[in-house]
Amino acid sequence: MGAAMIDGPKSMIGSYDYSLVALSVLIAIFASYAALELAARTTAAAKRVRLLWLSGGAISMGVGIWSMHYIGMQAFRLPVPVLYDWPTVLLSLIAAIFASGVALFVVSRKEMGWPQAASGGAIMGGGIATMHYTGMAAMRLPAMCSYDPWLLALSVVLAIVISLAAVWLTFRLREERSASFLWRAGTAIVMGAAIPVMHYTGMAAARFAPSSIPPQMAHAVSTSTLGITGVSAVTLLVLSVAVLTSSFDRRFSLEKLEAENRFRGLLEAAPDAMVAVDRHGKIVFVNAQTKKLFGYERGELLGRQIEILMPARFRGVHVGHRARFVSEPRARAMGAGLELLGMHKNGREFPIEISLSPLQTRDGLVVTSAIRDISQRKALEEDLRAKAEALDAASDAILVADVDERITYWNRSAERIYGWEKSEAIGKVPYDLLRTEFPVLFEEIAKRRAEGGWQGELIHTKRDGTKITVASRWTTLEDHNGKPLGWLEINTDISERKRSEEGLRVLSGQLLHLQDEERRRIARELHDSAGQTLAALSMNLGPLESEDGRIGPIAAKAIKESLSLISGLSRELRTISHLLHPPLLDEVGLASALRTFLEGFTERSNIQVTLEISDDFGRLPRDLETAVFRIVQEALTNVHRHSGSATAKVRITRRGTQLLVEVADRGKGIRPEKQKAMESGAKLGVGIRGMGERVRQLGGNLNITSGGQGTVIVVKLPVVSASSIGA
Amino acid sequence: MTVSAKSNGRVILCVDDETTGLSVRKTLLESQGYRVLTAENGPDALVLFSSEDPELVILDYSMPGMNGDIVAERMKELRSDLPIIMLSA
Repeated sequence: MGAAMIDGPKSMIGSYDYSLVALSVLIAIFASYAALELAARTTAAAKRVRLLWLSGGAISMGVGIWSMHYIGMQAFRLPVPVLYDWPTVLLSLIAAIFASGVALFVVSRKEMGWPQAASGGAIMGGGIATMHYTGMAAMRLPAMCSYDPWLLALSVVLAIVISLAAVWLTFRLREERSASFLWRAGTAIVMGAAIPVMHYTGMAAARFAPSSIPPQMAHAVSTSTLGITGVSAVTLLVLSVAVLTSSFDRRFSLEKLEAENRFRGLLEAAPDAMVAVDRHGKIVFVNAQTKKLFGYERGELLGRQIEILMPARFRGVHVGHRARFVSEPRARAMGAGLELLGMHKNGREFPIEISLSPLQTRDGLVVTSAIRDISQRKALEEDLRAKAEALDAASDAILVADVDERITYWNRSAERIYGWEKSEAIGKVPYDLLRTEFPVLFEEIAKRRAEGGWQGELIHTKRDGTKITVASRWTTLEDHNGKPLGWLEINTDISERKRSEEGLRVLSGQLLHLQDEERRRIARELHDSAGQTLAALSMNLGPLESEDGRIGPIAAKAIKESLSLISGLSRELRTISHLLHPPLLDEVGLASALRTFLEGFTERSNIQVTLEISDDFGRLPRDLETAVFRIVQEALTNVHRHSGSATAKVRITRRGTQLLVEVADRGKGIRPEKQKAMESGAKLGVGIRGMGERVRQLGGNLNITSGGQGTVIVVKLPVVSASSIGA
Repeated sequence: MTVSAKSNGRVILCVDDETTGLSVRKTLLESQGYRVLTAENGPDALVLFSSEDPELVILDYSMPGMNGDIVAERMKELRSDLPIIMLSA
C-alpha cells in the first residue's frame, strides 16, 4: 500500500458542485446569524436561563458549522467513492459545538477586553479548524490524503482571525441595543464567511493520491445526496427555530424593558414617596417625592439601608420584619393598625402610611414601598374627634341625617335622651325611629329647613315608649357648592318645662275658676242681699212720697232725693253684678246672655254692636260659655277704652269641634310699636293677658290683627264635649 | 260711599298694596252696583273682613308684610265657604 502511494504520485483531480458550495456558504451565514441572536439573548437572560440560551446557541452554531463542512465535502467530487467513519464524524460535531459554546460564552460576558476577545476568537477559530480536520480524518476512500503545510497553516490562521473579528463584532453589536437588522446581517456574513473560507482553504491544502491500501471500513457510511438533503433540512430547521425563538424573546424583552421604563416613569410621578429596596434592604430606587418627604437627595439614599428613613429606635426591629417579608413577599399595607413613623433628614419624625409591593426583576427581588405623610390627615382626624367629643358633651340630642333622611350621626346625649344606641340609630329615618309628632306638615318643615332652618316643638317617643317634648332646631347642611348633604337636628328636652308650664296652667285655671266663682257669689250677694235691702228700702220710702202734704217740705225733699239715690244705687248694683257675673248665663245660655249684655254695653258706651250668632247655637260646657262671654266682654271693653270706634261687630260661629269668636272694630287700631310689644308678650294689659290665659286654658289660640282701619281679635277654641242642648 | 249705580247691597272686599289697580277695581265694581271695601294690606283686610262681612274677597297675592296666601288662609279659617279671587300678578 505504502509503495503504491510512493509509486503513484499523480494526484486525483477533485471538482466542485457549485450549487452545493453556495448552499454550504448560506448555511454558514445562517448559522452565524442564529448564533448572534442567541448570544444577544444569552446576555439579556436571567441567570437561570442563561445556560439554556448558551447551549441552544452552541448547538445551532455547532450544527451549522458541521453541516457546512459536510455539505462542502459533498460538493467536492473525487473520482473515487468516499465514505466516512461515523464515530469520527460525531467527534467533529462535538468539537464544533464545544468551540461555538466557548465563543458564545465569551461574547455573552458582561465585560470583554482584548484578552477575552483574543482567547474567544482563538478557541472559536481553533474549534472550526479542529472540526474541519477531524472531519477530513473521517474520510474513508481509496486514496492517500496529504496537506500542503503552508495552506494548512493559512486555513487555521484565517479561521482564527475571522473568528476573532466575528467575536469582536458580536460584542460590539451587543452594546447597540437597537442594532438594525442590516448590522446584524453584516456581522453574520463576516462570521459566516470564517467557516467556508477556512473550509475551502483547508480543502485547497489537501492532496489526494490514489492508494491501493483498502481503507478502514469498519464504521464507514456513505454520504448520499439524500443524506445531504436531510442534513441541510435538519440544520435549517434547527437554525430557524433558534432564530425565531430568539427574535420572539427579543421582542418580549424589549417590551419588558419599555414596561420597566414606563413603570419607572410612573413611580417617579407618583404623589407618594416611592422607595425600592433589594432583598438586603439596600435602596435601589427613589422618586422625586422622596426628597420632599425625607429631605435626602437621591444620591444620599441610593445604596444605603432603608432603615435610614426611620427613627433609630425602630431600626433593629425593622431588619427582622424586612427579612420575614422577603421570605414571604406579597403586596400589602405595612404594620396594619400600627403607628408608623418616618424620620426626616433633619431628625423630625412624622406619621406615615406605607404599602409594600414585591417585584421579581432580573436583578432579583425588589420591594417597592409607597410612603405617604399622614400628619395632616392625623390632625384632621384629631380635630374631628375633638369636635365629636364636644358634640357628645352637649346636653342636647344632636343628630345628622343625610339627603336620604338616614341618620349618619347620633351623639351621646341622643343616646341618653332617647335610649337608642348610636349603632341602632345610624341608618334609620329620624321621624320613624322617634315616631315624631309634627305640629305642622312635614313638608312645611322640610321647606323651611331648605330655606335655611326650622325651629319648633316636636313630640318624640323614647325607646321605652314614653313621650317627650323637644325644642327642635333644624339646619340644612350643604357642601361648598351649596348642594344639600342632609340636615343637622338639635333637640332640647323641654318635657320638664312643659310639665311645669302645664302645672302653671292648671293653677291659673283654678285661679280663674275661683275668680269666676267668687264673682258669681259676690254678684249673687249683691243681687240677693244688697239688692233686696235696697228694694225693701225703696218700698218703705215709697208710701211716704205720696204723703206729700202731711210731712214738712224738707222731709218730703229728703225722701224724694233718697228714693232717687236708692234707684241709682240699685241700677249701679245691678250693673256691677252683671259685670261680675253675666246674669242668666247659666240659666239661658251664651246667646241670650250676650244679647242682654250688649244692650247694656251700647247703652253705657254708645257703641253700636252687631252680634252675629245663630239662634239655635245650643249650649256649650259652662267653662267655655263663661270664657267666651268674658272674652267678648274684655274685647269690647278695650274697643270702648282705646279704639274710638263707633261700631263693633261680634261674631260667634261653631264649626264642628271648633268655636270661632271674632270681635272687630273700625277704630284707630293698635299702634305698631305697641303691637310689637304685645307680640313679644312684654306689654300685655291685664285684660288681654287674662283673655289669653283663658284661651290657653281651654287649649285654643288668640290672634289680634290691627291696622289703620281697625282691630280684629280672633279666638279659636276647641269644643271638648260636643254637648248641644237646645236653648 | 259713592254709588253710581243702583246699589244691590252686596259687599266686595278688594285688597292690593298697589292703589291704582285697587281704585280701578273699586270703580268698575261699584258701577255694577256693589259696595266695595278696600284695604292696602293684610291686617286691614282682616279687620274689614271681620267687621264688614263681605261676600267676596279679591286678593292680591304679593303684598309686603303679610302675603295674600296667609290672608286667604286666615279668612278661610273663619268662613270656609268664602269665595276668594287671588290675583297673581
